Amino acid sequence: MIKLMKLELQRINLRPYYISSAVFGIILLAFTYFAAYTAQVQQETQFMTYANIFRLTSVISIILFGVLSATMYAKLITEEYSGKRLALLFSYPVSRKKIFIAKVLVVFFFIFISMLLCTGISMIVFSLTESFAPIVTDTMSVHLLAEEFKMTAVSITAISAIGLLSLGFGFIKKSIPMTIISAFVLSGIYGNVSVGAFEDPVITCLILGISLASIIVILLILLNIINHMEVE
Amino acid sequence: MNSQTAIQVNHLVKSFGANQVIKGCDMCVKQGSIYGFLGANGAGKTTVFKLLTGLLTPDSGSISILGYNILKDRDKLLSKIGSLIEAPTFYEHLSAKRNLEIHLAYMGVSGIGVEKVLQLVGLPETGEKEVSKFSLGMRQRLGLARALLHQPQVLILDEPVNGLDPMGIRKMRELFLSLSGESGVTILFSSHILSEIEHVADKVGVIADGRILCESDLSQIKSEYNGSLEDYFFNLMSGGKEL
Repeated sequence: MIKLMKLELQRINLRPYYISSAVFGIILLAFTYFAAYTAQVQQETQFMTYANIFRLTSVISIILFGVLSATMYAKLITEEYSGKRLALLFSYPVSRKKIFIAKVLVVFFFIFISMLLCTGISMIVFSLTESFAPIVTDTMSVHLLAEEFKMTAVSITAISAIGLLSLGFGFIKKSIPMTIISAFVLSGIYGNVSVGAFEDPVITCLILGISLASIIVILLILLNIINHMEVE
Repeated sequence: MNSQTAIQVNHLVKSFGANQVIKGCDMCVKQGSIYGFLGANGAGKTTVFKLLTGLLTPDSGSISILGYNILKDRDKLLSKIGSLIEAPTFYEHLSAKRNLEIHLAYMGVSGIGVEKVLQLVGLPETGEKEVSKFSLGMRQRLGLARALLHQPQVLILDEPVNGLDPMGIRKMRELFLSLSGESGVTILFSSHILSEIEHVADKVGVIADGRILCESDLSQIKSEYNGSLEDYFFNLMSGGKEL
């Protein structure tokens, strides 16, 4: 599987996705400062705590990376399986299922690493500047940062499910716009649900459970479709 | 199927929706031979090739290549087949060399070597060039290079000389003859250019309306039709007798 993933990485052009991730990182960092500064200036008490600022940033991160994940699935999977390159892909003496799983894992790890880095860096940079030039009057703690990282981990799992669900819709309809629109809608819904419910461990477990179940179901459906696919 | 047969197709049927495209097709290709596949546009040549390479699944009938069933042993068989079906596709942002290296990695063999195969198809010194900058003829040659690279025992080539210049066509002709004669590679290829088939094929199969009308040795056709494959083909298409 690792060999297949390496081959995927050689075949695809990841440059646009590296650039997108870097831009998203900058947006997240800028948004964190913007939210903190605006809250102080406007005296928005709701956003004068670090927890709420990070929560807001987290929702933006979920939408950005949810759409990036779906875009990658659409370009690297939907497009390949509905385009002319399918004949080439199916001429390799390798299980079609394994090739598909390798593609999914490449996108999963890319999103996992880039989201973790972008969210992590924006949080760490903001926390560092807050330690010597604070904008917010709240107190920063290690416990708060650990909680935020836990939330990010749950979000990554949910984003994987959102990406795969969107891929499923787009794959069945053989439509890239369908994949991306689905991701946008699902990310929005998930962002709204998660913003007020992350502190509740039951909701967190529910989100994780639904996400993992969705990932398994959609993978099984897509693997079955691919195994019986024809190149007309 | 005996040990001398490379490809054996029996009563193959394939439909797309209500449209039956292949209607009980039978074909037999001997090992190490060159089989020319003739037919008008839309007769079903490409569909047969896609069925042979596992890109399509037949509704009924059987396909055996080198003793393997394509439906049961698809992955095992694909490593023994080199194919070029319709216009070849590549990873456009990568060089020709990189495209071939990736193909070899998927095939899991060392093959005959990237430089050597590029030389064989008349693309020396182009290995580092990005495929997106290749002309139609160069793409066709690169497609052939990819089909040959992993040293397949069977080559299935759909219109392989499409887009090639006269020098390229002659080079391919010599290449096919040497692969079949010296390396024992079985070649099944289609072409609209009757003279191409006339120059290299040992056996000719003619398909019309999803059925193989006739399979004959080229030497037999030549003796019966004063050396003219064209007369044979047009006679057969207009309902003339089989050999």
